[in-house]
Amino acid sequence: MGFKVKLGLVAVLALALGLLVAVTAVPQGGGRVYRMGFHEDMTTTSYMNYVGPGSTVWNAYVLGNMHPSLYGLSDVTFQPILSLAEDYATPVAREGGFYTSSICISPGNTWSDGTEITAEDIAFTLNGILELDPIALGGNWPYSVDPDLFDHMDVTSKYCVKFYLKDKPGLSRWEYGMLGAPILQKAFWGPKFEAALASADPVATIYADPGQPEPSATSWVFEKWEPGAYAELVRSYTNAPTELEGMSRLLECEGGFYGTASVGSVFGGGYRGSLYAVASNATEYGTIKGLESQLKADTSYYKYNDANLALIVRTNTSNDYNALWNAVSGKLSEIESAIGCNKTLDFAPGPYVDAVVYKLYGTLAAGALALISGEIDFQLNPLGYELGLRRQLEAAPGVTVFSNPDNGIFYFSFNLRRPPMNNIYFRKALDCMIDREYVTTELLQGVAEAAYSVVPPGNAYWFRPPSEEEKQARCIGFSAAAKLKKAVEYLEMGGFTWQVKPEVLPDGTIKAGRGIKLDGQLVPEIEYIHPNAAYDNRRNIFGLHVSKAANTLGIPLRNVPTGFNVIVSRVFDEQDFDMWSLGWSLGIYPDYLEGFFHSQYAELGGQNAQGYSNPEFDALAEAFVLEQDIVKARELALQMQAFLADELPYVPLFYAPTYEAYRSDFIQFPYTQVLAGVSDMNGMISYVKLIR
Amino acid sequence: MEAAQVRYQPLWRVRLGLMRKSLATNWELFRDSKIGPIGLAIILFFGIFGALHPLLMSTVWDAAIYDPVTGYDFPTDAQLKQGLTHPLPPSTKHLLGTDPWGRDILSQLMYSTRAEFFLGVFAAFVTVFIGTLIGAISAYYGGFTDTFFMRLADVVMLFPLLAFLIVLSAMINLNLYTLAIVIGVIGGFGGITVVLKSQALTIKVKPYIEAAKVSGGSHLHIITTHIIPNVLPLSFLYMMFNVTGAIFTEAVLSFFGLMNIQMSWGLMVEMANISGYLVGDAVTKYWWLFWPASLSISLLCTAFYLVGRGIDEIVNPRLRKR
Amino acid sequence: MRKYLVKRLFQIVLTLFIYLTITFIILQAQPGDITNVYVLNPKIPPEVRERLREQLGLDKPLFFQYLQYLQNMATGNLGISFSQYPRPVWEIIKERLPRTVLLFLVAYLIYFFFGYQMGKLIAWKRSGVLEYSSTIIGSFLYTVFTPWWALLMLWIFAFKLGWLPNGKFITVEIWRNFRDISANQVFNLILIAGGAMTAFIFLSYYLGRRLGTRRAAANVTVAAVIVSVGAIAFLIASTTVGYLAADILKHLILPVVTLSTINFAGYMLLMRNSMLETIREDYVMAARAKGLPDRVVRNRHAARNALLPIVTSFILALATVVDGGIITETLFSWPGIGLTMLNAILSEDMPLAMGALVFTGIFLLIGHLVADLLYAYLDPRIKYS
Repeated sequence: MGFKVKLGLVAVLALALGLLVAVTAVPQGGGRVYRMGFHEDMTTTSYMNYVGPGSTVWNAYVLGNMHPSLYGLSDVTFQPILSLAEDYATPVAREGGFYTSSICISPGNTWSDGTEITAEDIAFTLNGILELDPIALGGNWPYSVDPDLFDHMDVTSKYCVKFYLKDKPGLSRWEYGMLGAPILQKAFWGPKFEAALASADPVATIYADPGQPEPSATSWVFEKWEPGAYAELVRSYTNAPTELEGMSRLLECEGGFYGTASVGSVFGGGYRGSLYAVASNATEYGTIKGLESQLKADTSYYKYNDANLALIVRTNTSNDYNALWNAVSGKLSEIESAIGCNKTLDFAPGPYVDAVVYKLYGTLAAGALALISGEIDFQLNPLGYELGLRRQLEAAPGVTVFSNPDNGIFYFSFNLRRPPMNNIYFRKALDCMIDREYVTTELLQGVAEAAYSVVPPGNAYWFRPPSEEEKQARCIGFSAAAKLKKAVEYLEMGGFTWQVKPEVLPDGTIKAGRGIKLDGQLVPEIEYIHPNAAYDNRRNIFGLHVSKAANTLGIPLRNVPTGFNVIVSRVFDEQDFDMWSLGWSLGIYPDYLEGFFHSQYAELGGQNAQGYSNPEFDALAEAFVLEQDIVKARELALQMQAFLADELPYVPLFYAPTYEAYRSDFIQFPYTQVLAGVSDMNGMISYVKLIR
Repeated sequence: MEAAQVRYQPLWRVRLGLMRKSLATNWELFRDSKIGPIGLAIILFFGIFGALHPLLMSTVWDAAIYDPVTGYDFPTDAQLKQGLTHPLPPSTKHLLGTDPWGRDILSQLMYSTRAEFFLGVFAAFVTVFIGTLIGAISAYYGGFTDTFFMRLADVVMLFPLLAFLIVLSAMINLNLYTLAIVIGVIGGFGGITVVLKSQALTIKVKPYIEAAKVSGGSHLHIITTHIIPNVLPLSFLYMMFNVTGAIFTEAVLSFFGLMNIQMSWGLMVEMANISGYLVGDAVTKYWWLFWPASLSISLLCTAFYLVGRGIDEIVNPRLRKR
Repeated sequence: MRKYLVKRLFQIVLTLFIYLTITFIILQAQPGDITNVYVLNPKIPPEVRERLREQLGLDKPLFFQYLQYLQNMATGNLGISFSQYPRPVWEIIKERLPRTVLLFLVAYLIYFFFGYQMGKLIAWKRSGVLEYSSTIIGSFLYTVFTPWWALLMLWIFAFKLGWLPNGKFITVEIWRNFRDISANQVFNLILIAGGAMTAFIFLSYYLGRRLGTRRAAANVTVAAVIVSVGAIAFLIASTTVGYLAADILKHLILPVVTLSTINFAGYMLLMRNSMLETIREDYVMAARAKGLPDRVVRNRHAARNALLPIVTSFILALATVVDGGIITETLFSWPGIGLTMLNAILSEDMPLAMGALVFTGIFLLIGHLVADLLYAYLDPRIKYS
């Protein structure tokens, strides 16, 4: 080819490239769109699948916005309140061979196809899932429809159903379990269920169904998923014809913001819903209840639930929320002053946008960059930002960074079947020796907070702060020298001796011990497996610190950074380990206290891999699981935590506050303080306001 | 008289002399390639750089502060006054600054150098060992042995190594040793066997092999003393390229967070990445987290590659200028 | 030829068998089994896991599992993805494949072309500063730490200059206006259009050669190029799909540039070596002695023949390209096979990861075979018996 020809070709190519860039300049507009970034793709469009094996947080962000349930959880405090249900379920009572309970839903709630939500939908969902076999469905289905508990459900009238249970349920399986189960539309899913049951593999068949276009019960309808690129929800104008002016109110009480009393609103389809007030303790609740007679004078409909410390207010006759709000807001102020809480916020739930777009970025960092450059308004981010990204986000104009406590715990634990880990003083000494505050503030620069309890403080209602006595026992706030002294004391109480005893020298420096012995025998090397730097450097750094602390005590502890898979396999499948470190992401209701520590789960594959077994604790845990009163359940949960703080089957290491960021020049959230962050509330798609 | 003297020289001396002579010629060729010496210089630099680390640690560097994994240094008052926290920019105390967890970057860089050398050389050695052996055996025996190993080589050559290692990382504990062995073994059964086999084939038909066979030399003897020494120069060439491959692979795997190690160049980049220092302005603002490690990987890989090309010019006479 | 084909096919089957056996052994090498991922979810009862094990046949003896594995692979059953349960792995791969193919094909053509041209030049002008510097720079690029290079590209062109998009493969704001069109439709159209364009240009060249002189053929070819580029420009400017295709192509530029800058150096150096060897051949010497112009000797005599080993490495380099693709796709959020595989590993979706690996292997093997046959057809020097 001649030179001219080449030149010509290059010119043509350049022209084409120029055209490309010019033609595809990004258009703006297209309605009020709330743009969120996420950095892992959703995996299914089917709600069935999402509750089952596809229960990733990414699917939840998109698909978790459209289904009604009988009970919901309150804003901020996450206490059970009425959602679709008109009134609380009747107390569970013995009837024939079953335990039964009845519940009615309020009339007038609609699906986005215009049909009404009725008792048929509810009975179809629970009976249908049971027929498909919740265990085989897997994921969260056994949690919603527990086959050990649920027998069947009858429709007793257009809006009422009756549960037939095999057993008497506690709070966790009832209010936080079955009553919160998602409700599916019978007209949409019914034929699909039948087809699945008729097929050879019902589970695979139902999960293979795309499950769209599914009618929604909220203001949002699923629109599109382009794999690898984006997903979109659009506003359902059947369910939410206009924006609300009605209000929600958040109160701040003595215990701080998280786990305070709150007054909020719940929406069913067609704006049929309720206002609620939940108290954070019995005293507050008593006060609220005391105002009953005054409140009743003004409005038509009040429901109390003593077990849940909740008050529900709703109008009997109309769906007019604004009228309801106006009627009761004056009274709500009375509640505030009576229970000694300050109003922090009144806000009107929206929705204020027409569409929500979830844009996929390959990595968290790429998404953060998009936030900085204004391509998105908020980044959905379950784990929060590390320091580096946070600094950049803080420096970017228009971006606001905020933090919240996370509902998770990072810990290390022991194989309690082996000596010397089964020696309680050994565990106490290690727990005492670790300087969590030093590691979290100095080494990790505030990306983590020292932890002493399995229940994180962010879950304020269930959290037990360490008592004064416990602080002394666990060396909280001690100097390095004081920690060593106390740890040595513990070890001596446990019958340990040394070749060279660790001690604090007169000049205040610490002399490390060597050759620790139990019953005259040298303690063999202990292997501590923890996640490596690439997987999670926080746990890696803690791992190094724990081994340093142990070595100072003369304990031959060797930390081995290990791949995540290997840890899981060795700890849970083989139970072949000395000590390990991992983390849990937790739910609101602390029934995991039973799951992690009851001796019945100590078998191979169970979650009590450490093999903790204490009949006293087991009794407490069993009582807790069966408890139906929230106040009493809390008492039990606190007792269990006290037990664990003393026996230390787990040594909590740190909590990780979650840092999030949004474009405060583009959007407004009514509030950003909430346990586990705005991401955990799916980005507040119904509350967010656009201001760009 | 002179001839007699030569005859009475011991054999090892003759060999040594020849070796020296050929070394000298080869060195000249290598030097003439111009690129080879550049590579060698870089390798030497890194060699010294890495060797200095234990020396510094045992003399001027306090382990509590400078240990590449467990070290930590508090920011000075002056730095705190400027609002600086970790990662700290370069200062006289930390010539390349600190990482987000307060550890010295220079120390990490030097410490990792040794690991990279170990990994690269070990993997390459395993490759060459296996490759040479298999190549020689295939060429010598032919038949089914040959077909099997050649097909195996086909598979390995077509194997996307990185993809394979990514999958493998989920199944076995990948640390420096296992990675070196895995890369080495896979490399050893791969393309190198084909090349070395064809080289060995040309030797197999040489008269002295026949002579050795006739005089009753065992298979093992012929393979080890006649065939293998003759394919070694080519093996050495492949060794250089393999070092590059091994170092690069480790870096990428570490960057994806799939390696189970405490410190390496790739991991340094990964840790800057996960803590969010690799996007936007941070690329230049926190350059010491990203650039030194990345450049080290690239440079050392390039260096071995250049040396390989230099050797190529010796082994492959048609590339020579003269 | 036929005998060769049969022999080659037999070899391929043997190779495939070795490959599958190796992958099966790897699968067995992991601690625990692929249901590990369910252990750490406090909400999932252990029975669910047990049932899954049964379904996957993991409770059966090892040899049985091996046979089942071979049978599944032979019938194209790559298994069911865990992370996207119960989607078949094959369906996911099918979805991601066009994206990877487009990226690779474009990058491949570009760096092959530039590598060839540059290598030819530096070999011809021996010992110049050009050769020296381009060898050093080429070696550096060829061995550069790819993530660093990719991040650098992103930083310069997307962040600092803002010319090109910051990763991803489509602009959401544009695409959400056209809800009925899926990205894969457009990807497939691009591939078809690209193929048609190439075929058209080659056909024009071929016909030009048959009908007229070399010069005329060149002119016809250039005309064909201009016509097809014009046609594509028209499609982009006037149709929705064209518009969306243009958006994809815009996102393609940066990953292609990154892949090309890294890989072109390899070809350049290879071409240089190959060229150096052919230059010494007698026919090149003879051509020079005849007094033919330098350019003609270089392009017609030396470079043509130097090309053959390059084509061989073109085939062998497929694996390297897949590896490079994983890195590039990851850093540019380009959802092809490579990114899918890495994400599968990170989300512990072993069936998907293994499926992608096995598929890639088979794909490469078949590619190898096809290229082999093409090569045999193109190069008259090779005789098969």
